[in-house]
Amino acid sequence: MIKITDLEKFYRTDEVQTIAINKLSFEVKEGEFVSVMGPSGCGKSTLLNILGLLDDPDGGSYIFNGIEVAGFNERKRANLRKHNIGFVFQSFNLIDELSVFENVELPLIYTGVKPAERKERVHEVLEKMQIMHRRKHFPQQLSGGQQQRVAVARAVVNNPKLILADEPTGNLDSSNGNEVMDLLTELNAAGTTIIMVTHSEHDAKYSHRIIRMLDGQKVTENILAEYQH
Amino acid sequence: MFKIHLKSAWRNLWKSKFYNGLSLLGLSLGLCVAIFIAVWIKAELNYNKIGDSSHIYRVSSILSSGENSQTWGSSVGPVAYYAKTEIPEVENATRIMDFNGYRIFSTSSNKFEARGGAFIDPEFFNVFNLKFIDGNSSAPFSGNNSVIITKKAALKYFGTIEAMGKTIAADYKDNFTVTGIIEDIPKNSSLDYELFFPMLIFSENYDGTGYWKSMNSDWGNFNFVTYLKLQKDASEEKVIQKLTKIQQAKDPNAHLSGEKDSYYLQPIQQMNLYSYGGDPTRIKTVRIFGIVLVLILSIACINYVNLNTARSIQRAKEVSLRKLIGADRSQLFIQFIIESCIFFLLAIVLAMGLIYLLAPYFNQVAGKDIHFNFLEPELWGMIGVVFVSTLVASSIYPAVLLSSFKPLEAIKGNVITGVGAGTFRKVLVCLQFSFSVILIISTIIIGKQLDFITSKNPGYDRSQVLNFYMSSKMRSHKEAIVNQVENLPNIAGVSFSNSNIVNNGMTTGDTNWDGKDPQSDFIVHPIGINKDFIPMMKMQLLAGENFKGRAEDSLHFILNETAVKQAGIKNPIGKSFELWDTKGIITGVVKDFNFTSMKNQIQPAVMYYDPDPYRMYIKTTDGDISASMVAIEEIWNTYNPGFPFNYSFLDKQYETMYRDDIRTGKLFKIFSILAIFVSCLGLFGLSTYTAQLKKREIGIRKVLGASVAQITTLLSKDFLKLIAISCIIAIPVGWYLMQFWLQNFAYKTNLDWWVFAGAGILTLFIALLTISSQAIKAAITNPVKSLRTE
Repeated sequence: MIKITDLEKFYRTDEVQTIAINKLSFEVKEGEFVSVMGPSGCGKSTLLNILGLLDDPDGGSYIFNGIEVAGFNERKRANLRKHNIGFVFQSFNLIDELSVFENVELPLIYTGVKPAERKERVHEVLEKMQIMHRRKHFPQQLSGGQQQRVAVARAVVNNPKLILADEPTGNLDSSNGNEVMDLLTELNAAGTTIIMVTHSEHDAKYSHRIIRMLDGQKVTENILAEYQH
Repeated sequence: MFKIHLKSAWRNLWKSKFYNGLSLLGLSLGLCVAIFIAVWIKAELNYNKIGDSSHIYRVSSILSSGENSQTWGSSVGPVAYYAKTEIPEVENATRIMDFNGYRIFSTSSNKFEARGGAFIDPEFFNVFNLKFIDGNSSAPFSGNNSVIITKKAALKYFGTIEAMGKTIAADYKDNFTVTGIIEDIPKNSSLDYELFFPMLIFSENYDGTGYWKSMNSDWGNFNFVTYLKLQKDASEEKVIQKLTKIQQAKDPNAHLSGEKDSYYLQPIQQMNLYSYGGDPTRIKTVRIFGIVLVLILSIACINYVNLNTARSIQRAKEVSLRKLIGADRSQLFIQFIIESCIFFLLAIVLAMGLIYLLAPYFNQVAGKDIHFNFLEPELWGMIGVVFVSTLVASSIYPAVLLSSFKPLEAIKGNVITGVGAGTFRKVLVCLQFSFSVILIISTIIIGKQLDFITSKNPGYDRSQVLNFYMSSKMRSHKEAIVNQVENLPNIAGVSFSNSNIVNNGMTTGDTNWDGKDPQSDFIVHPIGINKDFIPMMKMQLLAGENFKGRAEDSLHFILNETAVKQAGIKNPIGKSFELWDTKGIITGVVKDFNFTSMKNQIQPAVMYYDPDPYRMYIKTTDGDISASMVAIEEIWNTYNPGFPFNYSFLDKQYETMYRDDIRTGKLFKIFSILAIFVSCLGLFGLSTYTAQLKKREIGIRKVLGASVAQITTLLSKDFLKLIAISCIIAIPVGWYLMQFWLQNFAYKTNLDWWVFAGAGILTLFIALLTISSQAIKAAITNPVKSLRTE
């Protein structure tokens, strides 16, 4: 599903150029659950942003679903993103002015889904995330775990092929964290590809494969024992 | 999608109550003032919009030429007559003349001061296409005792519009029967009369025995306002040429003196905005108000743009999230435009509330009678134009800026608000305060000019002088009246003139003196006075002596300085002078005095002795004159029973002459205060926001030892720099605008440097007060608190 080859990303200031991603290559197959780990500043988030079509690489190739997307302009990237990719963040990033229902409904609005279908799909996903009873509440009225469940609901409401999760349990206690990881596992089991950036070895164990990075490069790649064939 | 945009917009508005409240208040005030000004301008531009008035012109008479040329809005009787009968381009013509001479109009049950009456030719109704409710428009008058009244007058005099055949009595003796009722004429017009009498009454004054045999051959008396309705494709120039040719051929004096009189046809819709000769007068004020409208709206819009873009960082996260979950830029752009629409709708609703509340006050200050009928499509059209232009001007930039955030940076808090967004905001603040300073400068100069003309010595003492017109009946008891008045307490003097000294409109070219150039275009204002007038009015005699009240005074003339100068008479005392048919000598020269508005240069005046002038002037002393006023009224009632005591003080008459200018001054004062208030609202919002943004920096600086003064300076100096730049920009613009406005006046105040410096310092001071409150508040906050909350 995803194939990156010799991917590069630099950050430049007036005098200094920092290499964020340095000739990175790997592949993620459809239905896989991959964790990306590494110390702060190793390039994990940059990688996630490029994979999520939020940022453009400075070099190398990025093939998404068989299409070379490196070099796509913002409009093309946005279009591809809204139909194929869902995001889950550490800090939930819900829109405070919108209710739970409206937050989850938003991606469907942007992809032009009709109101009746929107309502049905939002209800369906909220039921699935066990947050239906909170649909009229606003994010500030929810606990961290509930907010992250809403964020996951929003990420999956469009049935994306890929979910990118950036430390999804970073702001949660262990029990809420486990619930979120269970949710992601269920989604993966249902066929959604997941790439997760995490510092947590515990969370990484939910995935099939762990890519470890340092200074913008891949240092190791472990397939967890139970998934080795 | 629209619904969710609405919800989101509403919640966003509610979330930032403080900043949005500031913006909303500024915008509503701006919109309210802009709509008031737009309505005011529209009323000025809609003057004389009566039926199809686009081909109707007033005939202005241009007397003589060169330096002494004068243009009058009145014309002689033959103009209308010959225009209609001999000029094919003229479709119709009518004359109108104030119906003076009566004091009271009464019916069997009501009596009113005789006002609002006019003599007209019967063609009047056709020229202006006035609709008859009752009566016959082609033969409106049945004879000399006939009157046509408006619907309003019918209600006023008879309490019903069923007034045909009823009688109105003038001064209890002359009866006029109502033979027609017409629809009301708009107040905003030169035809704002309510009773129309046949011109025939006036024309019968010509009985063939006088110098002028008939009204239609009287080329000497400019008694009428003449209106010509031209054919649709007619050339005004051609009509003027033909009128001039007719005057040269028919006017016997034109042959004698070779006078070069001419005409100007003024479109009637321009009568209030341009002089009789077509020079711009009030239109200048209208243009300046147009500029003020744009300035005030800009100030309000800038507040909105600045507060919105400055706080864009708070929206950055939301924008980024929306982008992440699929919104493209156009969707976000539309969202922000919808938010602006909601905000502006709210502002316009508030503005309309303000208009509703303030309309009576506005009408009072502006001297208008504008009804704000919110069911009127025209008002909505105007509100719509103001609304849409303001919305477009102030919503696009914030929407572009907000929708342009790069989601990654924004979500991490590294908002880059587009290249130069901060600079753009600074430019807007500069513009905003430049506009405010311009308005402050204008207010000070207008106030200074009004002070100048109202306090300038006009060459006579107008304080505590009341005057009134004496009917012939009263004049027959003049000596008794004077004796009684002089014996009242607090009366300093009594005198007479046949002219209104404050605003004398009478002129004549019928003068002569030894050595007068036959081609001379000398036009003079004749003022008939008695012997007490000059001393009582404290006019200064420069040479010769005053009238003595003897029979020989009837052959004596007192000229003003300008008359002597323009006539070119050297050593005038004792020299011969002729006015009308009276040949006499000059016995005095009086210092120049303003007997018309200070908008005009002082013109030549000749004072002649009139033993029986009809206007009585009474000067009172400083004490309480209420008892004397009651006594004067009693004297009036004794000698003029049944007529209301109709008097006025010269001071008031003088003020009335500058009424429009005083109103303009008042409106400017209000606009300036509002402009600076709205600007300061924006500045307050920005400074509050800056203080919030720099909370952490302030905390660190304080921990490192910065004083309150240093922190206050840190937060204020950038804003104050901007205000200083605004002053530098505004001063030359304000100077130019006021120079332009002062061209309306022949006598004008100086554009002193201190006005400009004062306006700048005042603005800086107000801005400093606005900013420093927030700066000081931030500076005295405990740094531990600000660092912790950060």
